[in-house]
Amino acid sequence: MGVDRAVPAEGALTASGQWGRRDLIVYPLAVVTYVLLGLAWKPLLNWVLGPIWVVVVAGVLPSSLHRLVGRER
Amino acid sequence: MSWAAHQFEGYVLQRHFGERYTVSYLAIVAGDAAPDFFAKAWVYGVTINGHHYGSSDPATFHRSWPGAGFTHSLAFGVLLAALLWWAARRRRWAVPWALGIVIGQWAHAITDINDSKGTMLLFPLTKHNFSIGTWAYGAQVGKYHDAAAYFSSFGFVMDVTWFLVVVLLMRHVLTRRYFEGVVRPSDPAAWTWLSRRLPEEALVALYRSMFVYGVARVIAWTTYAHAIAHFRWDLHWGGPNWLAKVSPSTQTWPWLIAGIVGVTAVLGAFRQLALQPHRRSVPAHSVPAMPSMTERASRGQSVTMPSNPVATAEAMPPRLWIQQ
Repeated sequence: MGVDRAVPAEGALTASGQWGRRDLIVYPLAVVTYVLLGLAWKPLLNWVLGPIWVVVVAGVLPSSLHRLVGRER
Repeated sequence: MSWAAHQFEGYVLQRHFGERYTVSYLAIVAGDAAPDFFAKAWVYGVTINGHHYGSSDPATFHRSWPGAGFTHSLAFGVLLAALLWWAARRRRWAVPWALGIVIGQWAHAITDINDSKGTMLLFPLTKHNFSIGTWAYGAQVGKYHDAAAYFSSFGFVMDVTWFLVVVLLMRHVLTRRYFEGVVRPSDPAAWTWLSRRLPEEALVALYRSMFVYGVARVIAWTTYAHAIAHFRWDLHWGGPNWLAKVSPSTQTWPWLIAGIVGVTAVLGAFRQLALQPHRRSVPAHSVPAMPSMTERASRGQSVTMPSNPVATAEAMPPRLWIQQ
C-alpha cells in the first residue's frame, strides 16, 4: 500500500474530504488581510486584485512555504 | 449594479447548470465579469493631475445606447460566445466555454435589473432599460459613494442572500471533492493548462476565490460605509434616499410583460437549442460518494491515489467523487 505525491498535504482533507485544517486558516487569513489592506488603501478593493489575492494567500503561498519547510528538513 | 452577488451567483449557476450540462465554471465567471469588464473602467474613470478621464454621464454610458449599455444585453452574451466558439471551434473546450459565457453574462445582465437604471436586456430589439428598482443606481457619484450606497440598501441584502444560498443550500460546491469531481472534468483543457503553472492548492484556491473574494468584498465595503464613512442604512425599496439619484428608467405594465415574455422566450430557446444537446447522461450529483481515504483505510482498503488527477477523473466517472 503506497501513497504517492498526489495525495494532498496533511490537513488538506478532513475525514469527509471537504474542508481541512489548513483551509480553515488560509481562507479566513486571505479575507482578513484583504479587508485590512483594502480599507487602508481602497484602490486595492477591486475585482481584479481580489481573486488574485485569494489565490496567492490561500493557494500559492502555503504550497511554497510547505515546499520550503520540507526542503530545510 | 450588483457587487458581491456577481461573485456568489457563479456557484449557484455551476450547481444548477454544471451538474446537468457540460459547462465550464471558468467560462461562467468570465461571462459574468464580461459586461463590467468592457464598461466599468470608463464609468468611474480616473483622475490624473486634476483632470478626470471618464464618462461625463456614467449611468447613460454604462447602461444605455449610445454607450456601452449593450454589454448588459442578452445579445452581447450570445455574440461573445459565438465569437469564442468560432475561434476555438476545433477545440474540445469550445462548447463548454461558449455555454458558460452565455450563462454567466446573462446572469449578470439579469441581476442588474435590480437597480434603478436597469439593463437593455432585449437590445438591439429595443433600447428600453428593464428595471425593478430594488435599489438606487449609484455609479454617477463615484466608486466609493456607489459602494456605500449599495451596501446601505437592499443591495446589501441581495449579496447576503446569495451568500446564504451558497452556504446553506449548496456548500458542497465549495469542496475539493466537488472541484475535482465536477468542475475540473468539465473543462480539462483549461485546468490542465493551469495545473502546469500553479500548484494543486492554488487551483482549488482559484476555484474558491470568487466566493472568498465575495465575502471579503461585503465585509470591506460594509465596514467602509458604516464604520468608517458613517453612511446611513436605508433598507427601503429603491433606497438609499440620501443618494443623489439618476432618473430611473420608466417602467410600465406593457414593458414589464414584454420583458418577462421576451426573456422567457430567449431562455427557453437557449435551453432547447444549446443546452439540451450537451446534457450529461447522468446528473453529476446523483450517485453515492466515493468513501474518504480515512473510511477506506479503516476498512483495510488501499488509500493509494493516482498521481494524475485528470486521468483519474477520466477513468472514474466524476459523479463517484461527489459528496453532498
